[in-house]
Amino acid sequence: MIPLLKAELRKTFTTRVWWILLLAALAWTGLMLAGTFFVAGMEHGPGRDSAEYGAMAWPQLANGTTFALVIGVLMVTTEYQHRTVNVTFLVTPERGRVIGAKLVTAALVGVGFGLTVAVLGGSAVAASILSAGGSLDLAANEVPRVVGGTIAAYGVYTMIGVGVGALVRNQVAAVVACLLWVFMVEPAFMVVPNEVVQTIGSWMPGIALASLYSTSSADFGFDPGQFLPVWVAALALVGYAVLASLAASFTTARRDLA
Amino acid sequence: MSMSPAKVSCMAAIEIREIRKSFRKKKAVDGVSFTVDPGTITGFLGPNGAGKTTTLRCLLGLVRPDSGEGLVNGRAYTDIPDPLTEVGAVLEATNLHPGRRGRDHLRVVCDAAGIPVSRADEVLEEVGLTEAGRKRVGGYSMGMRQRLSLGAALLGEPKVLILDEPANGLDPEGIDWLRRFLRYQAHERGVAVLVSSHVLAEVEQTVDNVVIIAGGRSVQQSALAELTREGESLHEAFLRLTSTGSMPMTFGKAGADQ
Ligand SMILES: Nc1ncnc2c1ncn2[C@@H]1O[C@H](COP(=O)(O)OP(=O)(O)OP(=O)(O)O)[C@@H](O)[C@H]1O
Ligand SMILES: [Mg+2]
Repeated sequence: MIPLLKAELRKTFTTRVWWILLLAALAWTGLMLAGTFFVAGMEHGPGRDSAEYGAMAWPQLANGTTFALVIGVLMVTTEYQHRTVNVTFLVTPERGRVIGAKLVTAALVGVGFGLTVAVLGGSAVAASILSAGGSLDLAANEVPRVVGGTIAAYGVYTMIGVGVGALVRNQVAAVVACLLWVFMVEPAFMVVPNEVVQTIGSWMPGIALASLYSTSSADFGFDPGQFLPVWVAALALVGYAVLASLAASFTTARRDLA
Repeated sequence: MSMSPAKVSCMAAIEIREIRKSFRKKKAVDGVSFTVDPGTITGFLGPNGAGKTTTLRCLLGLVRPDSGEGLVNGRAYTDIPDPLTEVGAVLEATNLHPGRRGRDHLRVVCDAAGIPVSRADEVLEEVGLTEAGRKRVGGYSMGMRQRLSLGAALLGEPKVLILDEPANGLDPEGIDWLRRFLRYQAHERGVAVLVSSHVLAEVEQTVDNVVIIAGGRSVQQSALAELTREGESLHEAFLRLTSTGSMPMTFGKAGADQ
């Protein structure tokens, strides 16, 4: 497995897409943080020294997860797009092992993305609180859980991306499907004012993820009361990652490569 | 492995047994069988769409035959533990990521196959890409891509080479190099070489044996010398054996009137 992991890591880091997506994740997260920063500083805002500001700001670090999802998708679909999958399966005819290596690599790359965003974005949040004269009350805002959940969310999302990529295989279709899912399908479940719909929604991957990194006092679109308990959400996400990889291995195992 | 030397020496390096494969009811390969012995070069010939690529893909485990099998040293390709050290294969068309450097492509393959990455530089020199190896594949000519793919097949110093149209895109010097290379591999190193091609003039100067297929069926399998014994050129023999009359013989207005 180690040789395959080395190969997958080298594949990921020898084309430009990883740092483009990492920059995108940082830029998008930065934009959202900047928005929170200005809203908090406005006349009727809570003020950047308040606990409310911290509760609003820390969960914003998870905004880059969409790009983690995309890099996971691309880790598989570029192989079909450029037909390198032929070479990959010539070297390793047991296709399930390749998918397994991709999933582990995805987890590593995703966690790497999460750590980078957490360190850079987290420093910015901390600096903005401290420079406003606030105190870094990590316990009050559950910062360790929020940041830890955020980093895990990047890892899980990248793994789910690999599953989606292996299922869909067409690069454009897979990316578009992911974006529609994240920006339309899941939000729709949360917006419909119907308890059944919202309960179903709370099990959706993106929303289960949100319960890992959201703060109970924050309200950034969804009502946190709808979230699954953290441990249930974590189990559900492991379930999704397993499901995605099983589906991926199953559909990849016997298919003819054209 | 406890196999007597006598058995090893008489076992064909490549054995195709009655392979059949249809794509959506269309028969691509319809019962092709042949063998390739160590130390010989076999030209695998046939018109466009004859089923050469499909046969080779079945042999390499990329396409699953409906019936029949392909064996390398007595085993299915997918059962070989480290296939790259036993078989080198170059597939038709390029299977390269344009954004990856040639050298990195080879290193990825080394990683996955458990071969030291230093082999990548040795092989780049062998195929004349030492300089170009540092550039991204997107900037390569067709011939350079072909040589890089050939390089990947050589990483494991295999004793069996399976090449689908390796002369595609090569300039005269490249073709000359390929001819000498294949002869060296087969006649000096004892490698079994199976090479499909359209360039009959080239094949005629390189191969020891020919397998000709048309419409998914074998129409000829013999030593080259045997086929051309009557003074017929390979070109003439090929047309006699494979011509379907489907190509127009006249052009322009005259052709349209008939
Ligand atoms: N993945 C596929 N899906 C559907 N049909 C296919 C597929 N691959 C090959 N075919 C069909 O199978 C037949 C044999 O194709 P194949 O590529 O094996 O021929 P070939 O001898 O390699 O031809 P060429 O000399 O043009 O490379 C053709 O009719 C082709 O259209
Ligand atoms: Mg072909």
